[in-house]
Amino acid sequence: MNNFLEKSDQELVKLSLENQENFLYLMKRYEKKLIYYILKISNVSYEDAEDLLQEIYIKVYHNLNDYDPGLKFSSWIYRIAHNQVISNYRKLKVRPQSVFWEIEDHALKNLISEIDVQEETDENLLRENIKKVIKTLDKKYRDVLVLRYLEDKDYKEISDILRKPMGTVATLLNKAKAIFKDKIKEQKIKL
Amino acid sequence: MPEEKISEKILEQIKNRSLKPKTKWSFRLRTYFIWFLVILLLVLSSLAFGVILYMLVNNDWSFQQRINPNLPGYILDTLPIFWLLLLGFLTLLLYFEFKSTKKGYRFTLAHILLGSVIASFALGFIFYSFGVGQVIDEELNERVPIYRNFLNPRNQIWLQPEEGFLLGEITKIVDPTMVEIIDPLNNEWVVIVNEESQMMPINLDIGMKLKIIGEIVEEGLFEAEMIMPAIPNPPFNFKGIIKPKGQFNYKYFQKKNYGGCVIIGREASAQI
Repeated sequence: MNNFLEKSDQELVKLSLENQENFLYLMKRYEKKLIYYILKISNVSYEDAEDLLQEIYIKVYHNLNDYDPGLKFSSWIYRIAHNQVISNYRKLKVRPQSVFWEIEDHALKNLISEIDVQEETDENLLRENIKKVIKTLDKKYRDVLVLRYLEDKDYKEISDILRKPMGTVATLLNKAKAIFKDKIKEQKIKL
Repeated sequence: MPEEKISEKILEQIKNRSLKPKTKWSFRLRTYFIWFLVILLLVLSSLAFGVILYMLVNNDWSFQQRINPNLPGYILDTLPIFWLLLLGFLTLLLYFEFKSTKKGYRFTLAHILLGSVIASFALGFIFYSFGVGQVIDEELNERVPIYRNFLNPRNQIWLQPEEGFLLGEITKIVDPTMVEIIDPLNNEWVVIVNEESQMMPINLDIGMKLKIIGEIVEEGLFEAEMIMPAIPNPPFNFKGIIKPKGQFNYKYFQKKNYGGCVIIGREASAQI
């Protein structure tokens, strides 16, 4: 087991193709990350996110031979997850759900420095506000914002996940930040 | 909190449903098929550009003043709209097909469009140079009535004998001053070539297509003022590669009388 934990994603892909039991280590590695990613980019319940994860993993296994080692495996699996969420969007979006995920400290710091929030703002309140605002953002802005600040992906990875040119990612991110900042300010006024 | 055993459950499902990864070959085939379509679309758009170039270069510019003295109006009248729309449509398809290649998403719309336009222009110029654009235009003119009658604006100009513009194929050379032709609407004409007629130094032969400017003298009788071949040679006529029908020893039209025009026919052969 320990031996497998030290292996790279690429090595695990190769081993999974040789023996499907090894696919378990790959799934375990991305299980939590993908569940929270699904929750962040959609308004689904935890149970729905698990169902989606099952579809995603089956798709990943089915397409394992299509994985191009020139691409980061995480980008590839996030891309499949993103596409699966989109294709299930109609089915799942109708039900408003509570937020089941938390913003990690480093993500909060990143966002605060980017959106230039006033120092006296209460951190817990801000954390809650950020989650609320992210839920209200347009999908295209939410996608880039989540990947950049909450999933800590760089521009190249975001470009590979969303299948968009890097320039488009940069433009979307700038716009997303501006909208996000405006909404955060609006929320602060209300509070 | 996440349920502990979700990955194990999924693995069980994979086993129970006997799921297997798709073979490498199925993905390779898909990749090859997409690239085949990209190349096919590039070749088709290049062919369209080859035809556009041929039509623009051979747009009867020598007769422009006579046909429509207003240059912008003449350009609009003779613009190969069908081919331009087809080129636009193919370029759009090419864009979407290229986007669906594995790394196509990394390029912007502007990059892909610019690249495909440059590639199809370069390849299209080669097609034009070898006379491929001409062959396509001629074949469509001959075989596709919709193209001949509606999609090729140049044909419309030359289907107005009452306005002095006649297009036709030589059916008989009666003598050096009289040629019989049949126009695309199957009307038969006797064309009078007199000393005043301006003509290129061309070898006339039965089956050859001509564009004639002049006037109707009486029903079925057309007096030529200017005569030129309807099918010019491509700019680089590489022998044996492509030989369009009805070729001429093409020289630029000169607005002066040609006394040395040789007429060679099955029934007559003489010098004007």
